[in-house]
Amino acid sequence: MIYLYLVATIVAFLSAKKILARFSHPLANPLLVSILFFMALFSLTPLSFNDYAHANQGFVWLLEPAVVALALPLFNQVIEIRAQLKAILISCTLGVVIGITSCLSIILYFTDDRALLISLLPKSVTSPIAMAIANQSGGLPALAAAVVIAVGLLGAIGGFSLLNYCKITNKQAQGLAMGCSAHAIGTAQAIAQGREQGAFSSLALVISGILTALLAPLFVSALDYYLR
Amino acid sequence: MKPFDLKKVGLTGLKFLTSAGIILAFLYLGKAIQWLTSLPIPGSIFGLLLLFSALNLRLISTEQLLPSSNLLLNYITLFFVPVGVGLLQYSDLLSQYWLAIMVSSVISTVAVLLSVGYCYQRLSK
Repeated sequence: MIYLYLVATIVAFLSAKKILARFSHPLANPLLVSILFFMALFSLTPLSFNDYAHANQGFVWLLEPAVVALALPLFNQVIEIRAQLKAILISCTLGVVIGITSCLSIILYFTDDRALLISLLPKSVTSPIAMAIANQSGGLPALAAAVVIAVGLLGAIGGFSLLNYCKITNKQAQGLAMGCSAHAIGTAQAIAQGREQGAFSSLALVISGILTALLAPLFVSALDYYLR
Repeated sequence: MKPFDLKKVGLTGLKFLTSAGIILAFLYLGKAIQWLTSLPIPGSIFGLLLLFSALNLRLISTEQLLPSSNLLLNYITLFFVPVGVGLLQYSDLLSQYWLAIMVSSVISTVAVLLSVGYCYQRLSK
């Protein structure tokens, strides 16, 4: 009866959502709390994580059609997007370049392990793209996926508080920033914040994902030149 | 008590299945493109772009998509719970370089959030 784990995911998430609704602190995030709950459960009890993962495959599978369904919020904002296309493209390009260069230069401060550097290069994009980049350029796809998820959670949990604190209150700007930095997990959070944020986050997810895939080979050769 | 309206229930179900069918068709079309081009871009992103184009070309209406896309988008955060719990599998890999990973991820994520936000807020009018 491992499929009880599927029910457990739903119950844990929905009850976390209900209980945490009255707290406004960013750490009172239902996604974070349910993940920590299951992590604690599988670390502290003999219950098997593998059974859990197997039972919940369906949810992971649903992420793919959910990404396709993002076309709908995107279409609902198509007039706004067309009007702002130049600003959107410039901001996303800036975000991708800053994301990759800042990440690489900080890691280089600690180590010059090439596999580590390549695995963290695509940390801000959705995991299939990140894994493909890591795989093509000699990184570790599993590490790339793990970092992508961790970064997505970080952005989803702290993103909106940080943006509001820094007076970035434009809804479209918030959406773009979430999509560029925290890919699909950030976009899920942006959808919960509002239609405009959700649409612009979806847009940034797509644009920054494609840009990262296109620019990654350039950054990899620059890195190899530096490490030589 | 209202009588059980079989026709209405059937119609709602049919609409739901149609919308799910459209989304799946675009997903697998996207996967086919990914397979043919072998680009490092997932099929779901191609599917999103194709569906967006189809909506713009009025080949598909938003009403046709609503039943299942609303369900998917309302619960998209829930689907990430098992993905996040899956980080447990990578704890060895992550703990090896935890300091470099943590410092670079946090600073770089903050840098992207703020640079994109500020840049767009200044440029958009």
